[in-house]
Amino acid sequence: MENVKPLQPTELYQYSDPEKFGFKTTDDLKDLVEVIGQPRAIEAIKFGIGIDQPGYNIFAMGSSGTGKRALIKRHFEERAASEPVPPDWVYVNNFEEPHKPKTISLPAGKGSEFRQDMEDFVEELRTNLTSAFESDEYRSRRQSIEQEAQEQQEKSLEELQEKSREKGFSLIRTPGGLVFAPIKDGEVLSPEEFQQLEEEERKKLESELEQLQEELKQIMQNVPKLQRSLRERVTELNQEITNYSVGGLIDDLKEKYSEFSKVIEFLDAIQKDVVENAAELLAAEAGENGNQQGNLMAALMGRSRQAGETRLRNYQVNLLVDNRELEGAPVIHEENPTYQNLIGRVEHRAQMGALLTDFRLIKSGALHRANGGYLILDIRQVLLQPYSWEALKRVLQSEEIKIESIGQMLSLISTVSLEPEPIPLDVKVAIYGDRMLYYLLSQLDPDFNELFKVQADFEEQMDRDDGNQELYARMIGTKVRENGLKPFDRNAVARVIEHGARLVGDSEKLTTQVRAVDNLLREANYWAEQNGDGIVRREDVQKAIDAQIHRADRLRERVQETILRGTFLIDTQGEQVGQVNGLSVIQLGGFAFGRPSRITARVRMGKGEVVDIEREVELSGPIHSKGVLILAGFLGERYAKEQPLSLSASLVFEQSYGGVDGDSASSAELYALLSAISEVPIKQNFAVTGSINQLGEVQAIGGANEKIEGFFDICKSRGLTGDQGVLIPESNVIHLMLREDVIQAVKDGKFNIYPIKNVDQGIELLTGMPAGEPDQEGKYPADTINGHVQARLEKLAEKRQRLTSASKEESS
Amino acid sequence: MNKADREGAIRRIVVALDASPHSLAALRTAAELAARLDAELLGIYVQDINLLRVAELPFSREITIYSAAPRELDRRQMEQQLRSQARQAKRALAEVARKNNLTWSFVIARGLIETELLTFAQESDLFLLGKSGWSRRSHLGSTARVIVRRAPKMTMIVQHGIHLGPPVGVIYDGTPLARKALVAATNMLHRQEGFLAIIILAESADLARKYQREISGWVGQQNLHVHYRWLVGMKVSRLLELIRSEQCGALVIPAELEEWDGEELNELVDQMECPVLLVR
Repeated sequence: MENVKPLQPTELYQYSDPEKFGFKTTDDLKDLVEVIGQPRAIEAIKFGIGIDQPGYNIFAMGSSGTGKRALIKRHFEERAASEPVPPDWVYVNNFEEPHKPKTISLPAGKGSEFRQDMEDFVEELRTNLTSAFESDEYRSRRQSIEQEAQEQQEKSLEELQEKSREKGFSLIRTPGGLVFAPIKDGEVLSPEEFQQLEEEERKKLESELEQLQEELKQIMQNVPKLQRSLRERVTELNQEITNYSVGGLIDDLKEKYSEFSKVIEFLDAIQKDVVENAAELLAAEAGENGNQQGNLMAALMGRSRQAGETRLRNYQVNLLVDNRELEGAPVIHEENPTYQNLIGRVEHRAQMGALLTDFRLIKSGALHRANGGYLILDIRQVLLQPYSWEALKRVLQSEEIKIESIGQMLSLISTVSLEPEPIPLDVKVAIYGDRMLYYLLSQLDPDFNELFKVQADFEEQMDRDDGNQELYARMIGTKVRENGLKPFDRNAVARVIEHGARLVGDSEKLTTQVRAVDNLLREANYWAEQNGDGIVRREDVQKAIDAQIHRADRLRERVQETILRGTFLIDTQGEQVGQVNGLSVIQLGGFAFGRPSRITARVRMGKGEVVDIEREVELSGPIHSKGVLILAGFLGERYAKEQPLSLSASLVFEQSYGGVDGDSASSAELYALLSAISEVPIKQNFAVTGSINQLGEVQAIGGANEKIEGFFDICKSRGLTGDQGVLIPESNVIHLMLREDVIQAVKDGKFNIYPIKNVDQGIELLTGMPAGEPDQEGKYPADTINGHVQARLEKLAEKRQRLTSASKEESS
Repeated sequence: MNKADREGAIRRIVVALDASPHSLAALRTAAELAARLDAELLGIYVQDINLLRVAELPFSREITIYSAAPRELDRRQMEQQLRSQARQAKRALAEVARKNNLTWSFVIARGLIETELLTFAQESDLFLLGKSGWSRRSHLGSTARVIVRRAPKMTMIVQHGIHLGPPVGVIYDGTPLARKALVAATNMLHRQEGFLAIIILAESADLARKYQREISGWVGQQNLHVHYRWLVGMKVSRLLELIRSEQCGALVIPAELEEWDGEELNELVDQMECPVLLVR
């Protein structure tokens, strides 16, 4: 087999050539409006905006920092600008069912006009009513009604008095009531005189008396009837006067709002209410002006000032949505989507220990403001708030906004509450968030797929071709100007672009996480300022990158320190049987670094188990366990196809006390095992990474850059020996964007990186001994790794056979 | 029209009390006048003998205003009720007198109401009476009617709810009695702002002018603001119009006018809302 050739420096890092750029500094670049690298998402959003069907709301998913919100907002605003302004919405009192306020929609701008008109109406109503009821006409008419009633009663009494006189009686008023008395010469008969009368006379007197008393009783019994009739007539009069004074005002309003039937309905209801409750309203007015007469009148009518005030307020208008200043449709981003901020709420006020409310305390939510337009929400924020998600879905499904109090639902407030008439909803909603949330919701929430049919999937990365690099540069230029930074020269721009590739760990791609780039630009600007430079150069960008790393790499330093101090045993020289340097990546808080780990394998005679010690103690994740099982499969296939595997092997990550997962070390584990079986030592100046399949092919792993740099750092700290290096899967070569010092070391011939395709290549490099090809009978040559492995396995098998049959003999 | 007349002024005011709203109005007016004129106040409550007799009659049944159910009367109960009424009246009098810093006294009499009242009216310089009894109407009650016709000297009929105040109107027909009325009217304006409305009643315009000239001198000396109105030919309705047009807060009438009989007087007093002072 041909020896694997190490990688050339040019394969380790892809530079962006500043010469290819058509500019000197970012000042020369045109601004970029559209977010780059998101063609799929943009198409989806445009589709979502354009389609006018229910349920086609948008979910923008992707990592944070990819510009989801900005993109959505921009597209919404662009579209909204040409759309009509939606109507105003008001809530007014429902006179028949006050706990169900009614809603009226009016063209934008008319809402505030209507509110003002009703305020004016209330003012005028007060004055009109007062003057009407203070008018002479009213007073005299009322007086005459009252007098008439009185006179009616007294007339009957007078008539009775006349009649009684004729019969020789008189109707006398006592302190308690009325009584008939027989009269002689203007004086009542004394008892003595009465006794002196004839029996017949007396009898006659008594019977006549009884008759008269009967008549009197009739008259008295009529009194309540008369009272009632009086009250009714006064009420009628009051209503007539009220109608007269309020009618004119109402008619004017009706004419102004003649096109709006709900307004007309409302005005009619007001008129009726005013007429029926004139007395209360008068009291309100009287209270206002400290008007004695009014007070008196109202007091006479037995009404309180408070009641009157309340009634007048019922004629006002609650302007819930006021679109008079709006141009085009609204685009609302609700940053704090609590239930109440979304749906709106009904407030209460405390009065004498009870909580009261009315239509004026209805407040709008984001959905009201976005009605007829667009709403943008962060899904995580929505889900964090109790009840918000459910409410949002309900509203979108029913296509109306119904304000309900959660407190009421949960009986936290047992008090008067409102059921405002629902407002029809026409809105396009875009929510943005993590990809994971989208998949979870899509899987687990039955309503989700009905309501958010448009997925706008944001890329994590984009192709790094010339065209895109130009766009990237323009994006950089735009951000520079947006943030008020110094201009970047083209070398600096190139460095930023290269970092964009490193961020996605792929030399052929660039990250679309614009935020990370944005941060780098600002930090580079800072370092340029420290230099007193008027322009940002490549060095400044590099300094920014280094500084970022330095701020984050305290742990890496500590880890490396434990290795360099020998606390953590890692060899970078010499050779050992059954021991290899594996590589792992630690990711904490957005910073990832690699570090070598010692992997060892030990074998003995056994029944064929390959024990993964990490798995035994449950420190192994499932993927790691799978990797170990795969290598066991490979082993069996290659060396124990037709005979049992008579060894037991154990594999371990030495000095690992945390969990291990991922199968990127399965090739290293295999090498250690092969070394242990063949008893051929492995060179410790190498580190290995790569996962294997059952065919022995080496597969790509993640974090290639970090792993190489991790081993390099240890070697460099100890002093490069010149023969050190890292074995990586060949398929990872395109991912390489290594650090400058690594590249320099490779250029100087002091460090190497080897692309490995299969296990045989790897073991050759690691042991210095050829792997060996099988002959037609499947036998490997003696002085090869495979040969040694095969030979050892055969020996073990034989021995085991002998021992087993010996023990069988013993026992029988 | 000399000082003597002015000094023949009022020292003793008597007011008829029965604790009804009209009588309480009369009381207030009486007290105001007593305070202004520095007179003593006497309140009289008459226990109606007729009531007591009725209570004794075995077949009397009282019908109450609120239940319309007949109730037997008992003399002792009736006496109690009357005494209680008297106490109320006395209390009201004491209160009002105290407020106005007056010398006052209270008398309870028993007998026929009109008779008793007329007796006391004789002994007073000014006698006040509510327009009617317990009826809320503003029409002249039966008792008041009798008093109007027969009261001597000066009698004022007061209505509930209406206060005494300027301007003061007076009817003048050239007779000495009318002059007396004039003096009384100017006395009423004593220490008060406001004008005097003199309504001259005459059979002809010439006569009216003559009357006016007769009194204008004296009137001028009183330092009063005066309106003169003429009524040629007696007619109650026209008289009422004039009085109303002046918006009088009180009216002084010489009670024996040649031109009219008792009924017209009654009608006039009945129709007037403001307090009416009859001068005899």
